[in-house]
Amino acid sequence: MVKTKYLIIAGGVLVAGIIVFFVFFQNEEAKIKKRFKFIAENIEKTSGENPIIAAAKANRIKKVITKSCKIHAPEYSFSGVISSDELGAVVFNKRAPYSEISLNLHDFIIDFPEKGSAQVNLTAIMEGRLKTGEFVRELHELKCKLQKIEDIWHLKDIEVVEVLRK
Amino acid sequence: MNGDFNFCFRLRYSFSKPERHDVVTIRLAGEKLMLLKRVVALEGDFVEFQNGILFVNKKKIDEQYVRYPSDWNLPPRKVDKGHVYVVGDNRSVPIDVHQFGQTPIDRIIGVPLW
Repeated sequence: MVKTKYLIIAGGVLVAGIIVFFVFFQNEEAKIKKRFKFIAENIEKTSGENPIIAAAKANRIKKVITKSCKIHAPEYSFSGVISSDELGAVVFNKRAPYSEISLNLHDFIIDFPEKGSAQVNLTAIMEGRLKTGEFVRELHELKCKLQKIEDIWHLKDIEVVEVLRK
Repeated sequence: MNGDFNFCFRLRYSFSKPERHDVVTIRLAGEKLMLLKRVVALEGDFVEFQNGILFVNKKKIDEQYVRYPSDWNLPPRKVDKGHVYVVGDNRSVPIDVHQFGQTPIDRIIGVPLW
């Protein structure tokens, strides 16, 4: 009888541990997806956007990376380290020629190689209309490394995967 | 990549490899969003564009499936082993905007079903 009691307690502890484990990791995954949603929202643009809003969005994007971020984008002939201030300026300048931008992120694959770091693979589809009227659509696979600083996930490495090489 | 919803036949390349002129679906991070492109050259082939005309191994290719002609120019390049060269049928956009090039065969998931 006593043995059965201990077995039930041990089973209960095991189930609780499994639940805590999954809840913890689901929460971290949710936090990371929320972080990417924040990035997408601040890259998106609606027609007639106020320049003050554009500056505010670029300023918010600065805060999503660590002090500096490694970017590897062979399709755009860019590879290097960028500071948060530089990122803000790049985002501001890259958004400027567009009258509208939408950014949707799909197919998240999230891994936690060690505590406080995460690796995320995803597909990003960017659609936009230039002020000249031309429609642009780009689809990319992204590999990102994130670091958790003060309970907030920050991007420290972004690779635009070269799926097609001209 | 046209923003449309398509079904994909995944068994198409279970026992064979993609061939020239096949329209294929190409995987990115997952399988919800994929690229839809046409295979124009296979491994070892030389590909080039001259004023919008495709040449494979210096032979002019008659591409009746191309929706809008282009004025693309691309110097010859060899397709690596284990890769195929894919291009979209809609070539109305400038060459630097259009997403095309060689891709590993293992990224090809299947063919679209209409």
